[in-house]
Amino acid sequence: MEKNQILNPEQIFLDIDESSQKETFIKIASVAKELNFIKKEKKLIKAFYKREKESSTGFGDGFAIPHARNNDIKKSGIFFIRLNNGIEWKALDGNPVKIIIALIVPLDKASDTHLELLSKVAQKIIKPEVQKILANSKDKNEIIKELMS
Amino acid sequence: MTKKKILALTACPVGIAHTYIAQEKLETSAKALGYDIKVETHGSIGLKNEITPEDVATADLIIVAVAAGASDLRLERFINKPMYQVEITKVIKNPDGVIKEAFEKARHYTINKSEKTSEKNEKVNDIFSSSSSQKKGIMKHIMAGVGYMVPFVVFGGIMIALSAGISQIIYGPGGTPPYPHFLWFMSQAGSIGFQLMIPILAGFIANSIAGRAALAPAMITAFIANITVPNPNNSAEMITLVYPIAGLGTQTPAGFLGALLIGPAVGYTVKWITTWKVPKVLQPVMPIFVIPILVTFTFSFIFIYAIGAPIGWVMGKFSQVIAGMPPEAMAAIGLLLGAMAGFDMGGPVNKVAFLTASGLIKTNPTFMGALAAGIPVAPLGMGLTTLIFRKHFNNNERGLGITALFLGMIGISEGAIPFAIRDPKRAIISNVIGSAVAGAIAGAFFVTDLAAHGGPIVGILGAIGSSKYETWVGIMVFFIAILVGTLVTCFLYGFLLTIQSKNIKVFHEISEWFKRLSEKIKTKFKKSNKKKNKKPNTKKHFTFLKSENYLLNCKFR
Repeated sequence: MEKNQILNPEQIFLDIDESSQKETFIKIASVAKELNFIKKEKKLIKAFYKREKESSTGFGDGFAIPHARNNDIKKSGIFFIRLNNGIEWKALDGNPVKIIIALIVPLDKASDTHLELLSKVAQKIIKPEVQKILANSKDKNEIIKELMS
Repeated sequence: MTKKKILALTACPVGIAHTYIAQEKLETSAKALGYDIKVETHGSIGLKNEITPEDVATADLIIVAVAAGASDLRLERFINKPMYQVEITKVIKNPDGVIKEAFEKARHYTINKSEKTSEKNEKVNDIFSSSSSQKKGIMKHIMAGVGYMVPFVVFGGIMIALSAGISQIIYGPGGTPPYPHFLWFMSQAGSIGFQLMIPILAGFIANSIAGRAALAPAMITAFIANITVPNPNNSAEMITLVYPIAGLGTQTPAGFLGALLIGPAVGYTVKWITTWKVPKVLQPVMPIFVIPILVTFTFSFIFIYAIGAPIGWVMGKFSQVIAGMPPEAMAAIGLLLGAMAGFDMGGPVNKVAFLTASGLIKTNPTFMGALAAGIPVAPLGMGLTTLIFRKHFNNNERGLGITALFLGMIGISEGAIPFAIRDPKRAIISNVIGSAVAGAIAGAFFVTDLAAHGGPIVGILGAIGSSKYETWVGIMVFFIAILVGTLVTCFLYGFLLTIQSKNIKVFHEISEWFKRLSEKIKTKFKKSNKKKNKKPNTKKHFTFLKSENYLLNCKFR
């Protein structure tokens, strides 16, 4: 599997400003749309919201992993956003979230292989040493390497 | 001394991230605390790292870390093991704490132990048993049953439709194939499919509610409620398994409506029984002896002796009333017959209409004519809705829609059942009104049907006529009646689906707004000195919510 199909430098946004969870979702959706990952932006945003409603994906330490799986998603992808400011995410530890790593997967069978990869990513980003790099690195390729290797 | 061994299960709503994060956290913490651990993950990839019976045998503690609504965890594997159930988010937040707490608070697992723990630990553990989730949950259980039932409907319907269609071409309208004929075996195979679908529906609803133990009681009871057998005193007569109180038997099996009552009734009963405090020695035999025998016997014989006969009595009266209506009021009779056909698609109400009308074929075939126009409307209408209002259905449902159209053409109304079950209120209302319209139109023109069968096929095969007008008028009206009825059902149902999606959105908006408001008040209250101006942009928020029928799709999925 070509990993660079899932996470490319243009899916990474370092030290930008978004004022809220909603703005962040809109940002991710518009990038995903632009890069041809999804058909409709609104559907992705709603899927994110639906997941957040079940329980927050902010798992603490300023990290959040919104994720979605539906028919509207055309290919699997990761979107990495690092914010200058913390935003409210109803995170498990109550702290504001600064780093958002969004995972999207299509519903088709062929994407099941990606699920495995994404679950590995999810496991990786709770490790303190990985978190440190993700929080500080200025190099997009380093972030890709850290998440995908 | 060897290390203590922990087994854990993790599952979350989407199954991409938290399932595995929780796994990682538990593994890391357990190792740090000096325990052995194995974590079985229920993600969207499927089951990974499956716990084996050997694991269970050597385990000292079971941690079940799942989000609400997780199913198929097969907790019965862990009977009599100390188990601790916890929300998956708690594990992610504080894995060390959860493991420590688990050792302190774990209790020996008996089936459905969650209810006991939730009493003790208040809200911490009530992930399976809160009453609100039970209300929302019943539809989930019914849909689980439908999922298992659908293949039976498809096989049975197609076999019956093909054999009925071909044999009517060969043997004339209403013709049935003789015994050793290939078509006879085909239609028998199909009707086995239809016979099985009712117990399968009831059984898997109950299974979804209370697990394996509820399967047999629900299946057997639903089968009893739905079967007809030859009368041992008079083998020409088919009878149901209902005790005739004062001679009142019933000719009509309970159909899918019966299954919809029996499945949940058995399921929740079994679930309740599993909360009983029974001596430890009895626990293993509860699901294999006590529940199957006690619950099956109770429900079966309640049905046979107490419920069946009153239903039969009501049905009988109904039949008398219809047959006794003045023949001049044929439009009204047609309306009623059509409505009955659309109500439960081959279920008891439909059967009463059918038995009455087909019993009158020789003396007054207009009854059958009106009914024959009403019969195909539900499957045709549902099928057409999946084509015209596509966005309200997923791919599976669209496939079912095509099957329903096909079945409707051949006069098999069962094709509409899956739609009626997944959305009873709207679908049944639409079906009843459309079928009633078709029946009334056919009745108004005194359309007759000489075959004990309905749908466009009997019109094509020449069973249709009219007792007041020319035969060609009867045939034409017959098709117009079906067409109009189908369109009424289709557009009414499409309209109701659209309305519903709008309503939900409005409701969703309001609840979102309340949530935001309460949160705002809370934060102000807490941090009155630390004012941050994070006003949500309400205008944008609202336009954003006014999009497609996403929520509806969710519900349907």
